[in-house]
Amino acid sequence: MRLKTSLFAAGIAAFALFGAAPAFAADEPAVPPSQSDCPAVPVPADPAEGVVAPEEGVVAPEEGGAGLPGECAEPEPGVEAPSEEPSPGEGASVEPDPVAPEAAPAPPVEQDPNYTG
Amino acid sequence: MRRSTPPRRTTGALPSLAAAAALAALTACSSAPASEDAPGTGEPAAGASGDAGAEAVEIATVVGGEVDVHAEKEDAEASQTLTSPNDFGVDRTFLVERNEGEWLEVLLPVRPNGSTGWIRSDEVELSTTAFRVEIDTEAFEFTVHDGEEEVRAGVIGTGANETPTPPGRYYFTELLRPPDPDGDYGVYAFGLSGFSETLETFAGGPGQLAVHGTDDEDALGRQVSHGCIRVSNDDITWMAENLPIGTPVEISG
Repeated sequence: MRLKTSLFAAGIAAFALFGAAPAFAADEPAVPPSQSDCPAVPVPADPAEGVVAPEEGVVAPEEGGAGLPGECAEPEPGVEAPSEEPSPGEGASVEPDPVAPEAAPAPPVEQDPNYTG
Repeated sequence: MRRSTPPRRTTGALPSLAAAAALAALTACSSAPASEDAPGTGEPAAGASGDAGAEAVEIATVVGGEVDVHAEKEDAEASQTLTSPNDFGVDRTFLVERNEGEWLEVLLPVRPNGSTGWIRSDEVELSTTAFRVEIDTEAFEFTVHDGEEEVRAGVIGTGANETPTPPGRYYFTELLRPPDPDGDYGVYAFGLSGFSETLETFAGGPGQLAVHGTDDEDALGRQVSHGCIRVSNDDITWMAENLPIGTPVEISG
């Protein structure tokens, strides 16, 4: 009887962990992400949707982990999101070369020409 | 020339990695920014080598007292040195045919007509003009273009049979105002970078060609000169008020 209860609890836990995930998260890993594996992408608003509350007597998942599937804890201190700014030299705008000024009509020189005429 | 970016597809929810990869492949062909030819890239200057294009040309004006001209760029030895100002007291000016940054290939105001050479860009100041003058000696007419737009046209007198006006690509080297506006050169005269091919000297000068005015209307529409192009005093006055030294002049016919 105890074995059956344990197996049943394990099944419930497994269902809670793997079977009740939202449809659009079907391709996400079955194992809930640990703190260090959490992506920087925002998670669904209600990750608890579809999770069945454990029945009485069932041991709840350990606290302190990533929690429910799809939910990530706060990032570890010191971990910074990758900067989206291009590093120098990569995609940096290049100053255009200066354009030569437009030539203006010159004042005439008063002089007798010696052209071929 | 800009290439259009393929339209992005709205896929909605695509949870599979394979679908995401396919989407990335479809949008990978983004347009690369067209690179414009920057100055000094080795490209011919607009309007170079007889191409009477509508783009602006560059004019180089010597900043010092002289400029070394090299037969080939980066030649250690200069093939000749030209003084500035020129014999008329006007700052020496060249029409740039090719800009390669440190070096400029320029049209030279020396014999034979059409001579070019290389000068260092740090010896000159550059300016631009979109004006160009086109002369058709067979039709006895000139037109002045400002870019794509024709801004002035008129009748011309050309060289006589014995002293023809040689066709070619030239530029204005100086603007003179003769003391006698009723004389043979009219109210103004633009010297050209070219020379008569039949006269080595004329009037004490080196046989230099010019575009100058005249008050003799009978001289227009005919072959009458010693090689110069004659235009009405009104037309040469308009040119003097609008066209800079260095304006390219294409003579055909």
